[in-house]
Amino acid sequence: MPISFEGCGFGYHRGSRVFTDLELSLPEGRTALLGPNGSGKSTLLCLAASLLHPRTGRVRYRGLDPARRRDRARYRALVGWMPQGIRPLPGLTVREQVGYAGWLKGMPRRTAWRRSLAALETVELASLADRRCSELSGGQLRRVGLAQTLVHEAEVILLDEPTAGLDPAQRERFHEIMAQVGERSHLIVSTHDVQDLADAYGSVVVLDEGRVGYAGPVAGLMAHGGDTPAESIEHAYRRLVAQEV
Amino acid sequence: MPLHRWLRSSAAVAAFPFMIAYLIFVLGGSVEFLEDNWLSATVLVSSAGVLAMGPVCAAAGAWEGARLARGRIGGGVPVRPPVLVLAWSAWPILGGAAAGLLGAFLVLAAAMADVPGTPDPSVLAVALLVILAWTLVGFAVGRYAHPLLGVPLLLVGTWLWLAYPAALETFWVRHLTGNNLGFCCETHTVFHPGALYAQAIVATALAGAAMLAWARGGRTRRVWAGIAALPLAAAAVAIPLVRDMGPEAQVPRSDALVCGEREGIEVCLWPERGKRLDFAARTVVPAARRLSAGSGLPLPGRITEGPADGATSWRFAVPPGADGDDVVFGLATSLLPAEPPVCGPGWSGAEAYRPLSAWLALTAGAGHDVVGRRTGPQALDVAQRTLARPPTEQMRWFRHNLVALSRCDTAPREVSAL
Repeated sequence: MPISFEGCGFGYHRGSRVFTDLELSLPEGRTALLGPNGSGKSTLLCLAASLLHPRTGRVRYRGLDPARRRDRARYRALVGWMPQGIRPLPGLTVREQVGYAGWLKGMPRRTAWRRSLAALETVELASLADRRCSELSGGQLRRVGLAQTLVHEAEVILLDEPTAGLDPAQRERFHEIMAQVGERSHLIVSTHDVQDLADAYGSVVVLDEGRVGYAGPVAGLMAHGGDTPAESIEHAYRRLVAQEV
Repeated sequence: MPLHRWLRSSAAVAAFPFMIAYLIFVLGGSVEFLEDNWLSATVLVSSAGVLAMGPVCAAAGAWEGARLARGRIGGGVPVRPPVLVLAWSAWPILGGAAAGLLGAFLVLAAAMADVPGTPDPSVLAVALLVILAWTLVGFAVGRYAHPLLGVPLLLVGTWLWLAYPAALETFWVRHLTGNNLGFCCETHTVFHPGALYAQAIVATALAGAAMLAWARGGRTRRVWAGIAALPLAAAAVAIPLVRDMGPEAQVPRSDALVCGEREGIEVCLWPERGKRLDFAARTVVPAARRLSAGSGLPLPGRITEGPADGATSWRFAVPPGADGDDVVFGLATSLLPAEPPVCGPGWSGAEAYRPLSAWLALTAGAGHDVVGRRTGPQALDVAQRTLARPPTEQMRWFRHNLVALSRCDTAPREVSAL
C-alpha cells in the first residue's frame, strides 16, 4: 500500500511555498528521497509523518488522512519517524527511552517494555540497554532513534538523513541495519548519499525546489549513463537538479 | 515500561523529601491551632499541604515540562494525546503530594483520636486541585523556559502567591489562593462555601490555561488569547464570591442539632457529639440552675452548642475528652462577652474577666482545682472572697463588673486580690 500525496500544497509561512499541488506516490519497499538542501525532502517526510499537515490536498495511507483528527492516531500508529536530530528524554536509559517511545505510540506499557529489547537487538544496541542515552555516541544515538521507530512495529518507517555526520564505519553499519529493517517495513529515507543507492533502495524520488524531478525505480535513474551504478545515479541526479557535472 | 523505571528518573523523587520536610515544618508551626473537630484538622492539613507542596510540585512540574520539551516528545508524532503524556509525567509528582497529605493526616490522627467525625472531602479536593493546577502551570512554563529559569521561577512565584496575600489588608486576595484556609474552623463554624468555590474556580482556570499552553501553545494568537482569558474570566467570577469576606473564611454552622430535654430545659449538641447528650444534660442543667440563682439571670429555655442569644438560650460545648468541670466552666464563661469593647488606651475592664470567670464557674459548681488552673490563683482568690459575701452583694458585684467588661466608661470594682 503506497503513501500518496494528493495535490498537496504546503508552506511554512504565509506567501511561501515548499510544495504546490504535489502529486506523488511512494511505493512499498525501500525508497530514497534525493535532492539538494532546501528541496523539500524533510518537509515531505514531516508531512508523511503527520508532524505537519498540508494546507491544500491530503496525504493518504491505507485510506487514512492524518490531517483529520479522527484518523490521526490510527495513522500515527502505522508510521515510525526518525528526525535528523535524536533528542532522548534526559535521565532515561537506552531501553527506557525505546520503551517510552513505544508507549507514546499507543502500546501498553508492558508490551512496549518487552518489545524495546527486541528493537534494540535489531539495531545491535541490546548490550547498551541499561546505559544512559547521554553517554552514547552520535552513531549509537541514531540507532536508538531507529529502535524507537521499530518498537511499535510500524508499517512505514521514515528516516530523515539518518547517516548524515556519521563516520564511514558507522554509516556502513547503519546501512546494514536499514537493509534488515527494509525487509519487513516500508522504508522511506531522505539522503544525500548516492554511493550505494542501487543496492540499498528499490525506488528513488528526486526533489528539486518542491518539484518531483524523478520518481521511479532506481534502475530507471541509472539509465541516464555513467560507468558504474553510482556514477550513473550521481550523473542523473545532478542533471535533474541542474547541478554542474 | 515498569513503574519503578519511570519513577527513577522523575523529578518527584528529588522533590519528595523537600516536600515532606517543608510540610513537617509548616505543620509543626500550625498544629497548636488545631480545634476539636475534623474540619479544623482537614483545613490545617490542606493549608499546610498547599503551602508546603504547591511550590515544590510547581517547580518539579517545570523540570518535567522542560524535560519533555528537550526530549521533543511531540516531534516523535505520538499516538497518545498530549494530556495523557503530561498526566504520565505528572502522576509521580501528584502522587507524592497526595502521599504527603495522607502522611500529614496520620501525624494528626493521634491528636484527633477521640474526636468523632471524618475529614472534609471538599476541602481536601480543593487543596489537591490547587496543587494539581500549579503542577500543570509548572509543566506549561517548563515547555517554554529553560529549567534554570523555570524551576526557581515556579518555586518562588508560587510560594509568594500562596503565602504573601495573608500579609495584605485586602482580605479577598487570600481567599483566592488556596492557602487562606488558615485556621478555620471552630466547632460552631464551617468553611465559607464561597471561598471554597472561588479557590476551585481559580485553580480550574489555571489548570485549564496550563493545559492549553501545554497542548496547543505557540500555534496561534487565538490560543494565547484563550490562555490569557481563562484566568481573567475566573477572576471575574471568583472575586465577587469573596470580595466582602473578612480575614477568616468562615460562617456559622447550620447543621441540625441533636436535642433532649431535662427538667424543662432543652439541651442541644452537634450531631457528632450526640452520644454524650445524656451526660451533657445531667451536667449543664443543674449548673445552669445554680448560675441563674447565683447571678440573678433568668433561667434559659435552651442550652446549646449552636448559636445562642445569651438570654433565652445559653451556649456551652462538650469537646471530646471534656469532663464535667470542663463543661461547666465553658457554660459559665459563655455568659461573659466574647470580645472586649473597642475602647481607647486606659480601659481597665479586662481586669474583671478572670475574676468573673472564676466566680461564675465556682457558682455553677466547677471544682476549685479546675477553676484555679484556668483562671489563676489571684482570680480564684477574688472569686472565693466574693462568694463569702451575701448573695445580693455578689449579684451587685457580678452585674457591675459585667457592665465594666462591655463598656468603656465603667471601671471594674473589687477585682484585685488582697
